[in-house]
Amino acid sequence: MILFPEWFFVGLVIGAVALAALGAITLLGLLIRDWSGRSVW
Amino acid sequence: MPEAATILDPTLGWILLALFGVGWVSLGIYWGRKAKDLEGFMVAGRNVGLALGTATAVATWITSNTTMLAPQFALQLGIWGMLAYSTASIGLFLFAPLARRIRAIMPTGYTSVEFVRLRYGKVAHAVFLVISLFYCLTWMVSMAMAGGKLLEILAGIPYVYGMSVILAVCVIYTLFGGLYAVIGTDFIQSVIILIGVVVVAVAVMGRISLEDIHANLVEKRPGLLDVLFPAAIMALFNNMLFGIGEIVHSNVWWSRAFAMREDVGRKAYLLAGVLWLPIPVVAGFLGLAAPAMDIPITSPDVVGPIVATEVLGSVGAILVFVVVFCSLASSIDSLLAATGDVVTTEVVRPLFMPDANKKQLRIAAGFVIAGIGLVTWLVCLPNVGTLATVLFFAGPLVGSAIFPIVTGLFWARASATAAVLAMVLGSAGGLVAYFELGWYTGALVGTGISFAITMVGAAVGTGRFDWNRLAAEDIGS
Repeated sequence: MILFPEWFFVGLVIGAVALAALGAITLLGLLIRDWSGRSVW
Repeated sequence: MPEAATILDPTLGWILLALFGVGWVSLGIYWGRKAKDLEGFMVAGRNVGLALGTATAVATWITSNTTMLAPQFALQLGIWGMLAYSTASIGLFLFAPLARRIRAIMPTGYTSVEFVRLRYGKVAHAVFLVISLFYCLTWMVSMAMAGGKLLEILAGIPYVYGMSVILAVCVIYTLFGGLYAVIGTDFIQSVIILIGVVVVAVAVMGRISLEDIHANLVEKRPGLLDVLFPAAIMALFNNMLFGIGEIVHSNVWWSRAFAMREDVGRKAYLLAGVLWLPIPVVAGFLGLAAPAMDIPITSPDVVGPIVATEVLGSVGAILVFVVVFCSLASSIDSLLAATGDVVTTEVVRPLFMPDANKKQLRIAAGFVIAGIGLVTWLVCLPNVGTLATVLFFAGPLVGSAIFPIVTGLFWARASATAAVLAMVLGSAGGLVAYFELGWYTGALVGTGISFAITMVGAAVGTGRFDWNRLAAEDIGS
């Protein structure tokens, strides 16, 4: 049985958590940008 | 359910439910001031920017399944289970160019069913309408039922009360605010969900290292780390095609394409795909952490909440409750709005109000949404467990619609006859495969048959569609 190595598992989880955190920050940043520039809707 | 078995204190559960319910309804009514006409109510004035456009796609696609089922998938199918779930984001990526095309060729459009009617004619319209409504209604029923069950498991709120409150809250704010309310609440819900899953995951990593989790899996459950896990790899492809079919055909996504500014749709869907991609991995990771933390899992479908509560105590339970509530509301409201648009413009209008203007259709849309909510509530009331699984039958149906839609959007020579045959035979063949070969083949076979028929139709067809016919239609004017 070939197993996913430790570095893959660690990288996958940390990468996903970082991306999700960055996602929340990005959404808030985009909202501020839209609010101060072009209309939000 | 006895109170001791719940993850959150029932009183606290009711308080949270009341707080968020009142909050969403208040926001819906507030934003509803902008939804007085049909353009505002159905497509949010066609002026939605990148922030709200991205957030609404992310929130809608994060269902309670994403946050609750992903840990179970990981616990049962391992790393491939998490990755299989993540492939559902491919639908968002692929829809990005379609969103731009949809906005460009149908500047006054409202629904995906309207597109099929104008592009392929009455027969294809009827077939596609059945597929669309079946999918939307079964998805909504499964979400409302999941809501009732989850609130009962998490906080001991009886199924009927939980299901009724969630559905009523979504119906009320969608009824008042239309797509404005849906998109506005989606933004808040998406941020809450993203922050919630990150906080829980970081807390778990603070308790046990990823290296220890991996070592534990190697020792006790190596199958979950197996690079060649056949069932999980098949689940990956089925999930991917089902997800693509869901997004490409459904008015949930088309209505947002119509609602976003012309330069926004493509970017918003691409960014939404990037933001959605990690959610199943972050949520799924909780499932893999459970064995390493020696947490006894008696019911795999609540492994995520159990791990969160174990690590963060009552704060974890509250976080899970809020994330699940947001996941449910963000999907149910979108389905209500999108299905309401389809029923109003493509069923009620031609049958009962052929000469209705936009103002009359706006009023009718409110009644339609209330009616859909009532029907959904009545179907969910008996809590028949097998009803929720009916959604999986939709895999072959929506898979069979992918190529007629995509080619219809871009190729003038895409044939109406082929589109009808592709959807009918693709759905039938996919359903046969679903029952005879296995659930994981349904969407694959349905999509395959549909692809072959669509391509042959385009190759031998001699007709050339006039794109101006799409731009000329403006319902209710």
